[in-house]
Amino acid sequence: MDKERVHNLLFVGVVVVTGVVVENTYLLQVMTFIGINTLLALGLNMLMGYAGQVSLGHGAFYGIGAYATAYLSGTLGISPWLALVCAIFLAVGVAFVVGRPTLKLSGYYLGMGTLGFGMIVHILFREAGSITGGASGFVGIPMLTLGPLLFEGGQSYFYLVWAVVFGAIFLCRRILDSKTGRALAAIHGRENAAVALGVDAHSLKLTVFMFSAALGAVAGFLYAHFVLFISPDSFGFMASVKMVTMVVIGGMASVWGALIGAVVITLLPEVLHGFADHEMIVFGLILMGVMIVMPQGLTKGVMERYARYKKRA
Amino acid sequence: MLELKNVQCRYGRITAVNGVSLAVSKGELVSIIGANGAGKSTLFSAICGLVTAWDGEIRFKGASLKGLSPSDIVSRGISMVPEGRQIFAPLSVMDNLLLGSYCVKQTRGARKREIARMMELFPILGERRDQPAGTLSGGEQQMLAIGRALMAKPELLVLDEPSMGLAPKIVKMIFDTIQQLRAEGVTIVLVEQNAGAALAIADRGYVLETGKVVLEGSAGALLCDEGVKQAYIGGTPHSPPRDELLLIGA
Repeated sequence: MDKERVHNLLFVGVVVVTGVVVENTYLLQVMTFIGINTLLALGLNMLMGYAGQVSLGHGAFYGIGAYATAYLSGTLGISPWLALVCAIFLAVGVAFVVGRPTLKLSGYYLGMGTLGFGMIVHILFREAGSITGGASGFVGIPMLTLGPLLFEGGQSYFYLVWAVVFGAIFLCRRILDSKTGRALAAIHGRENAAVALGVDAHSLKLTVFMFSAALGAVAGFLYAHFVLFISPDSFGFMASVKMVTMVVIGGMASVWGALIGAVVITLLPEVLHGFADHEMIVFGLILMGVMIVMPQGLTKGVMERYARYKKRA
Repeated sequence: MLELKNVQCRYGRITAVNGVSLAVSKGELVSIIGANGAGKSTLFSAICGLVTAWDGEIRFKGASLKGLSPSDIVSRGISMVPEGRQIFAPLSVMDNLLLGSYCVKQTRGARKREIARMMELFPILGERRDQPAGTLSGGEQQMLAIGRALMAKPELLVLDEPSMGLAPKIVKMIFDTIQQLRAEGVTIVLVEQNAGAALAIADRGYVLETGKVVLEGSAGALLCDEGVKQAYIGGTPHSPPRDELLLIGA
């Protein structure tokens, strides 16, 4: 069995055992949030880490997924699973419309463009009160059911979220190992050379943007049916920044990096509760420290250090 | 096979290529030589669809390339080896080669055979197949760039300054490979500043100056031309067979 398969099996095993062993509801809840954040980081990592495109407005797709399912299943009463399909289509459609002109930009300009998009969507969530519930939020999101199964938080939701995460990791890996993945790496490194080989850089970037929007929408769907109450602040500028931080801290262009980034960014605030008013300062200092010591992100940084240590030993 | 008629390319107000006309027949090796800023690389980019021609026409196998994207052009059988190699440094040699066939629809078996052919043509790439391409030497990177372009099974191979920044021994090796490809039937356009080496292996040549073709003719005649020698080769005076050459605008 190759190394990668062993890692994958180990990862699945750890998650399955964790779900069985951990009975504390709070811990299960935190680990469910890690799963949801992993989905967000995976999607953005495909765009930032592999295609080399910055998005500072990805919170919008997270919100579109959450509000679409909230409105369709909570207000209109349609099945949440059908609402999920609609949410994905909506997010992908919006990504197509926004990405077509925006992805012709690059660097800071692309960052600014996506930032503006994220802000507009955030304002829409706040102002379209009749659909979204406005600034006070949306109440009345139904719990997820699948036949006799009721996903009401705790263990069942934990497994649901992580099953989706496994699926997303598998999908990302398949894409990255295909010729599309190679083309993504090529446009990240040398876009002109990739174009000269016949890679249609713009449509490839747009496709990845839509794919990451779809993953964001799925994360939004899982979030909405988990917390059962959503408000615009969960999908604003800070949410987008948090996603970027997860990708950068974990390590760009690494599927495992997305997972590590999600673990760190979800767990740190929980661990730092003891610092009370100084929590955010300590949080910021830790992130700065990681970036100074391991600018390539935790995953690659730790692996490189381990390889150096092994070579010396 | 390739025909350019009065092609003009501009960057804003600057005209980089000004009314270039040239023709390349099937199986030929044609060199386009000229000094820095003569418009060679812009002409290369125009042929490959990386720069849109402002005016004029580029035809390949009788069909116009106007409005076609680089991917369409690669699909029609033109492959390019860009200036400065432009290999994908973090990717392995194998991945770089596979990217060359991005536009080609082929079975896994056919792709494997193509890879094997490249490894045969450039044995060093076979030895380094899993190594990141950025760790290869300049000469090896140039071989990889050529191999990558050949993966698309082109009918026309356009090379931009393949000798740039390489040691004379490596340049000779690269040019030997180009000759070998030509012998295998690949039509080649070689855009070069190293006029002596480029004309030595070419059938015909064009001399570009400030965006215009100023001289064209057989490679042998161009090599003996006094003006070409003084401007681009720096050789000793030799009987100039100017009657064999076509002086543009003379």
